[in-house]
Order: sequence, then C-alpha cells, then structure tokens
Amino acid sequence: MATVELSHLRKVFDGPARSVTALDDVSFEASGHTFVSIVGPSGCGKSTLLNILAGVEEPTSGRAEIVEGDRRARLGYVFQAPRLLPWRTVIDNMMFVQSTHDQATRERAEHYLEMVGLADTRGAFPGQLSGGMQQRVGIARAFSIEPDALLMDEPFSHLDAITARTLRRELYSMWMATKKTVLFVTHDVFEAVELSNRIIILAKGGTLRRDLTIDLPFPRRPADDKVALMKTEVLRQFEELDLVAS
Amino acid sequence: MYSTLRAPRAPAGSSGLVRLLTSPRAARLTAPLLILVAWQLVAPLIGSRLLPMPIEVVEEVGVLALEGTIWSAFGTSLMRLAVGLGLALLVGAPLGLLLGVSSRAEAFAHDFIVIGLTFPYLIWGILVSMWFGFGDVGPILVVFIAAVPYVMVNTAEGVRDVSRDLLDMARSYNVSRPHVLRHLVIPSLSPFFFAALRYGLANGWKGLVLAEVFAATSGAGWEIAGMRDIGNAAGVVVYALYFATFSILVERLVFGRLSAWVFRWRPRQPGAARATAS
Repeated sequence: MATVELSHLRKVFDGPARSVTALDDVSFEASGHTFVSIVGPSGCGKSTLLNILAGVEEPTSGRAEIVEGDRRARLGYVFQAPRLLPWRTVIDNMMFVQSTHDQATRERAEHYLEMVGLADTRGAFPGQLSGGMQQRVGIARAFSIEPDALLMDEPFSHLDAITARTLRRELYSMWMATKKTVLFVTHDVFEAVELSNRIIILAKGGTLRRDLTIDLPFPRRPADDKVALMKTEVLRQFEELDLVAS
Repeated sequence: MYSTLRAPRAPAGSSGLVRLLTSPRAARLTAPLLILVAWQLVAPLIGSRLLPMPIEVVEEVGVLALEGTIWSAFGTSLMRLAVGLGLALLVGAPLGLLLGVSSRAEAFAHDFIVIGLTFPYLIWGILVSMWFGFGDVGPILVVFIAAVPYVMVNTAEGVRDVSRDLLDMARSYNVSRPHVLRHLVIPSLSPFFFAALRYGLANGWKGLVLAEVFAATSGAGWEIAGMRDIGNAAGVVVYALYFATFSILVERLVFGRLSAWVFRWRPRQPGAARATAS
C-alpha cells in the first residue's frame, strides 16, 4: 500500500529578475486505494508538486515522497501531453519504461494496451494515432509498470470533451481494478468531483487552502443529481476562496 | 457580393501526355535537357578549345572510361573522402555533443567554428602541400577540415533539440542512462546527423578536389589539373560530369533510402495516415 507524504514542502524558482514561490508549506498525507485530485488556478504549483514527487525536481525545503512499505514507491506518470517517443512503435514505447525486457513484461504491456482498447495499434507509430489514442497509450504505459502509485498531470485537458469523458470512465475502471493510489492534477473542479474521493485546493503562490473529502458512491455519473449538487458545492467553495490573489 | 470557389479547370485540349510533360517528375528531366540544348547552341560561338561540343564530351567519356585512369583517379579520391569524412564524424560528433551540453565549450569553440566554416579551402590546400608534400595525408586532412565544423555544429544543434519533456519522462520512470542515450538521445539526433553527413560530404568533396590539385600526384583533382595543363577542355568537363553524377547517385541511392528508412516513423503526409477512431 503506497503512502504519499508531504511535509512543509516548499519550492522556490530563482529567476534572473525575481524568484517565484511555486509551493509554500504544503503538507498532507494520502494512502491506499484513494484518488486525490489537486485543484487550483494556473501557477499554483500543481505540476511542480508532481514533478518533485517523481524526482524530476528537487524541493527547496521540506519533504515529499511516496513510499511503499520501507522503500520508495514505483510511480507511473501520465503527463498533459502524451510524451511518447515518435520513432518507437506503441509497444516499444511501453517497453521503453520497463525495468525488465523479457517476454512476461511484454505480455503485461500488451495486457494494459488491451485494457485501453488499443491492442491493434501495438505496431503503429505515435504519429499515426489521434491525440486521444496517444494519451491512452500514455495511460497504459503508466499502468504497465504496475506502479504503487500514479501521478497524473491534467491528462485530459488537451482532449475534446467526448474523448475526455470516455477516458475518464476508463481511468475510473482501471483505478477500481488495480486499487492504486492516484494523485490527479486538474484545473477542472467538475472533473475532480467525478473522479476523486478527496480534493485538495491550492491557491496561487502554492498554499494549501482546502482539503475536501468527497463522500459520494462510485461510479459517479455526471448527470446524477447528487454528483451535480456536489459539483455546485465544491465550485462554490472554490470561488469563495480568493485563489488568484497574490 | 460573394464569389464561388471553383476547382481550377484543366486547359482545353489537355491530355494525359500534357499533364505528364508538365509534372514535377518531367521537370527533373527537362532541366538537364535544356542545359544540353543551350550548351549545343553556345559552344560553337566560343570555340571548342575553351568549351567543347557535347558530342566531343561524349567521345571523351568513352576514351577516359576505356583508358581507365578516371576509375583509379575517382577510386583514390573516394578513398581519401571516406577516410577524411570518417575522421570528421569520429572527432566532430563527440565535440559537437560537448558543445551542445556546455555553454562554456560553445563559447570557447565559437570563433574557431566560424573560421572553419568560412576559411577558403585553397589556403588549406596550399598549406597542406607545404606541410605534407604530395600524397594522401594532405588531401585527407583538407576533407577533415572542411567537414568537421559542419559535423560539430549540427551535432550540437541536435543535442540542444533533444526534448526536455521526453528526458523528464524517462527520468520519472527511472529509465537507465544507456537506454535513454540509445532510444531517446541518438534517435532525436539523427536528422541533425543526416544534415552533418550531407554538408560534410558536399564540402569534403570541394575541399578534396582543390587539395588534390596542390598536394597530390593522384586522384580526380590532380587529373583535372593535368587536363588543364594539356588544354583538354573536354576532359575537364567529363570529370565535372562524373562529379555531378556521383552527387546525384549518392543523394538518391544512399541518403534518400537511408533517410526514408530512419524516418519511417514520420507520417508521410500530415494527417494522411491518421487513424480515425479516438
């Protein structure tokens, strides 16, 4: 069971003219089969938070890590853009991130490709796929390493509404099937309500302003009254906070 | 006021033949044909001592081919070109990598590269003849000098072009360094590597022929100098033709095919191969 631990996390980017605080004293914990959405306006440090957890960036101070028992957790990362290697086929893109390259690993990769409905495209190059299909490959890639936890950085924001809805449903069933800890960054409050059982709201300047538990049964249909009411409630709280004041 | 856009209509009386004759494919053939006609018309005005008639050149092609010096001359030149270019890649690629990752190295090398790119081959040709006399070393060195700045500049450009996003992706998945180098860095360098090879080859050739005039007693450049000495304009033109043919063959048979294979992942037309389902 993976545990996400953030303790007084702070990140400052030093620019030539002035330094920018991306995250300011952020602390929270999450563990087990949970779906945490991190919501906030642009520039609130959402992506930076994921990058620090993934080890791509270093914190200025404080601590941020995801552990599985007493070791560092294995992480799958889904980005805003698919970030596939254009010169490698779909299946080779999935194999690129694996730590072993035997037959069993390949079969596992193919299994997840099948889960996102793309078994037929294994030999295709990313440039031959639509944006939605590429993003699906990115999702399958993240699941295929059988991670302890998943980091997702606005994975559906570049897609059209219909494709995004389909992918949200697929993500939900994969989350249910695999019981992973998911950290999901979005600027879309409605998307957060549909997917998560916890929503963390960050304000500009990277301060944690709300930590909401979304106590609604799954699966959540967008048109469901309770879901709609919850969306309105969260949006109200969201707007109440003056998130972009500097 | 509004207007309707209509598809342009083919001119009256057009046939498949006309379309074929005006196609880009035909244009590639009409270009040399036109040059040949112009040549045939102009040559008599100048006189064959200075500009031979096309037929004289054709005869000379036969004479030189049968005699055999042209083959050994080109063989020698090609060997020098291959060695010089190979060395330029071997030395230039790692240096280019260094320039790409270190701004200090780039600042250090900047002026040398500018000089390298613009320095006249004539000076190198004369210098190497003074340093190394007549032989293989001088011409090979000039090929190297002519090609190496292009290899360095293009490799450095390629390194700077490697996607930060893809590198971060690889890092977040803990992909090993050798794996990243082999499957991410080198493939994204390949367009630049092709450019390096093309420019290196083109400039290597130019430098080589010049160097052979001054610093060799064999090879195409030296043979051409000999033709000039005996006043055989047709012979010079024949050598020029061989160079032209060689460039086109290398472009079509080697670079064209190699790049089609290396870049087979690129969609042929934007959107053409796109799958419809999402």
